[in-house]
Amino acid sequence: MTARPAHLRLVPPPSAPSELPAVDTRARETNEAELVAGLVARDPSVCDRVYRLYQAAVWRMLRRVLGDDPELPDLHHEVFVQALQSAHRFRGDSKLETWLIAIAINCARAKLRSRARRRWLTFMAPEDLPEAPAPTTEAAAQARAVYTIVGKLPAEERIAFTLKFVEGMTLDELAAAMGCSTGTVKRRLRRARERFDRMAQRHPALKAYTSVEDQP
Amino acid sequence: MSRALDQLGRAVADHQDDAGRELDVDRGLNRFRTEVDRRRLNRRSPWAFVAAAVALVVGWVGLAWPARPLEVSLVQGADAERWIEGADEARFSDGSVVVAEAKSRWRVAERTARGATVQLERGALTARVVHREDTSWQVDAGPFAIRVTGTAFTTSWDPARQVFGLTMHEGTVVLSGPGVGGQLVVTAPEHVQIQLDRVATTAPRPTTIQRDAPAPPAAPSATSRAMPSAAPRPAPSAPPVDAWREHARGRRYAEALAELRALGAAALTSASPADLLLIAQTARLGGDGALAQQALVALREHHPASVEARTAQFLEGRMHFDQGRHAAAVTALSGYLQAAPDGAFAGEAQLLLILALHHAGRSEEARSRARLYLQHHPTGPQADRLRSILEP
Repeated sequence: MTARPAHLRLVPPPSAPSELPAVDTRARETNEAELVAGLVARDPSVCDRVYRLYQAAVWRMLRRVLGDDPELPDLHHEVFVQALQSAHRFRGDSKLETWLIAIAINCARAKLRSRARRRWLTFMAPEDLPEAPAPTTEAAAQARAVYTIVGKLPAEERIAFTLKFVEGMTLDELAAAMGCSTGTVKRRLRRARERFDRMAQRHPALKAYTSVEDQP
Repeated sequence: MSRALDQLGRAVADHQDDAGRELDVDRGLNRFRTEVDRRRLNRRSPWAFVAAAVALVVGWVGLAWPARPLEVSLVQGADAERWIEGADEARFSDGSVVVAEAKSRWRVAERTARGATVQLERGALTARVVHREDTSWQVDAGPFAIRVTGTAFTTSWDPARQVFGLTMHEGTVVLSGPGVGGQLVVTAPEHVQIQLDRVATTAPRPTTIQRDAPAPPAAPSATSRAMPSAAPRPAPSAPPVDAWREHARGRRYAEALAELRALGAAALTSASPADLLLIAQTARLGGDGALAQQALVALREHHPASVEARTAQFLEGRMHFDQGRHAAAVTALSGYLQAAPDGAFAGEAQLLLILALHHAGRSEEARSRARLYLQHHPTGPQADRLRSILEP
């Protein structure tokens, strides 16, 4: 064993960083540009990578807007198919994830509108639908009550409401995701809030919420 | 104030994240990969596409089998898919030929790659269908249907006398229709003649069925325009069954109704879907609501899959509404919208339904539908009237 040179000294091993390193924006942009180019070229390995990187975010966003909807897997697939179709139009003005989330919101919006039309045309009221199993926990009952109420809101108001209060997006993020101004977002939120509060009064599962709201 | 809502939202999000529906990532990825592969294949070089197309065409030509619906042309140049009055000859791209006699009313109702459906409203026609694997041809003569896989025959239908005739020249057909009792296999050189009971209405029954084997007449060749001499012909003494139609089109409703009454129930049992609609409209505008109703019911019962049957349902709803039978109007209009959500009368049906619900005392449903309607059509027709329904 050789002796340690004098100019070298032992130091303790580095601990886990308390904060993640700052994102290297240029690296991200290069990386995203490559991903988009791969999507446009239908490169299987890149398409796989895009799916693996963003599937969770897209799923979460769809679930926030639609709740535990039986059509979530189909819509999730639809988002990535649309991304594949329109990748050539992606200009890099936003992050790839933001772009995918905007597509997800568009898909959810289209689904909500088509359901509204179908409900209108086929006379299938929500109460005519088969009963889902009863919720087993208070949280489950609350979640169901919230999505029952937002199910009666117009699509735009439902999207704004769920992304603001369930997902916790800021007004700016909402405006970017919904493709409108923050003023429009505020207006939709105000209307959605008024309707939600009115309907929440009738749901026992939301008693805790409405009693707090009633306090001066 | 929105702190409570933030808390509620977080609780819902936590519940979703902990116990919500999970994505099956592997399955989703496989599905996406399939889509990527499909699109990659579709983007291959144009030469590969051309080569594939050429191979396909060669394949089809080799089988002598058209990929597209059969082409049809009439010797006299009319449109084969519109009702044709009189004699003409339809030649199909698979070599089949249909020759209609004078005074016939007929058309090619549908064409597919495997065959066609020819409708004969009255008169007589001779068909020579070229047999191929999986051929699917049908001739509808009045209320009778003749299914063909490759054969030659002459058929006739006289709606005034309610007489159907079928003379086989070659091969076999399967006949179905009123009084046949399911399906009847008819083989050359047999001849079938069926006389329906003229007083029958919804379920016509045959008074006579003759099935014999006369000497077969010469079948028309695929290129010949000659009419086979042995084909049964409608009786020359048949009353002018077109008279009512002419009156109806000329808006002489009283005269049209008189003609229809003279024809009796046969007018409804033998009429085509288009004629039944015309009878219903004529009766409605001529003030005979009962006949209009009968025609619409006959249309829905005898031709349930036709476009006209759906229209009949809408018209029934409108008639009920006009006559103040709002509950019946709700039923008919709801049925129409379910059957034809994008139908030609969908918009009008939605409006009428809201008004019918309102008048039937189902105010809450009317208001709910009015709100939805106004969301989608805030400036649409009757918007003001609907808003008045929404007001308490």
